[in-house]
Amino acid sequence: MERRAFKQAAFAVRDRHAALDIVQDAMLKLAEKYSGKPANELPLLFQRILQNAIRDFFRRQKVRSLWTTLFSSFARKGEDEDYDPLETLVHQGSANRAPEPTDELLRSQTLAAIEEALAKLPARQRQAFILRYWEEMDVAETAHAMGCSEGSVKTHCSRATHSLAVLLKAKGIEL
Amino acid sequence: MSEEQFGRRVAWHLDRGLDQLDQGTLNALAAARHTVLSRRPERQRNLAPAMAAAGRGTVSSGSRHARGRWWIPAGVVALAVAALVYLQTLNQHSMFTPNHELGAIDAGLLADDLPIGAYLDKGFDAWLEDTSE
Repeated sequence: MERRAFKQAAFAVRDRHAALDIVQDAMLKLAEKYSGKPANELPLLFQRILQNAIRDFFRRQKVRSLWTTLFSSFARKGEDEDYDPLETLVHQGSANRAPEPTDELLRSQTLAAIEEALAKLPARQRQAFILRYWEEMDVAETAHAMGCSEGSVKTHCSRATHSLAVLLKAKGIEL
Repeated sequence: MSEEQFGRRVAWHLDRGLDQLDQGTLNALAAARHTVLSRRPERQRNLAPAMAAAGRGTVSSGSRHARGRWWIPAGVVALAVAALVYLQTLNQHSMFTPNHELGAIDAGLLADDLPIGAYLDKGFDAWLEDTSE
């Protein structure tokens, strides 16, 4: 459970430590507040908690960046803009990879391309796509977890699929 | 390829990616799970299998049965505690009954030095009223 949750959070916040914190917070909330709920409701609850935790992260970041804008120097701000966490994620993955057979290398490259493409999607599209196809939720469950209508889920998923296909094709990858 | 098929293929690759997480991340996630499990209240210990299943939306029937039986040991413990409290109360109460202090009260009466228990004894008050009338 926590591995996929971590990847979800990492796609969204693009920071390994923040993603780990988010997953731990979500697990804690699930255990502390919802352990009395029927087991079949837990996956949906966990997804809602996880998505809320990701939203909270962005809210906090927004507040923090407001203070940073107010008090930090321009030079420092410029350094932050140069930093691309996505590149770090990709490099970390490649650095830890040992030499592998060709097909394995191809899969790794495909995975890296998929992760990069997912990270480029708008948050709601990515969320809908992941819940629907990776978490294997149906449209109604996805809508419940995202707090939106089933129609919105279908639209998000359709757009996400189209964008992913285009991004992957541009890299010469066909699934 | 349909949207559904495309989604499944992407999910397959993402699942494979989970095995490629670096050891540091895996250790951190394991530590997080351990922290969560250790912080749960005792009555919530049955959540572990449910948390494991939360990712796939399934849960074994065994854990559901386990969830339903939590009250059996809890009930036994509650009964034992209630019995202990009752026995303790009886014991304390009997210490203040006149039967156990009759000798002391009698001796106090004879020595004109009543123990404090005599003043708490309603029977003794009644006896005093009777004798004063």
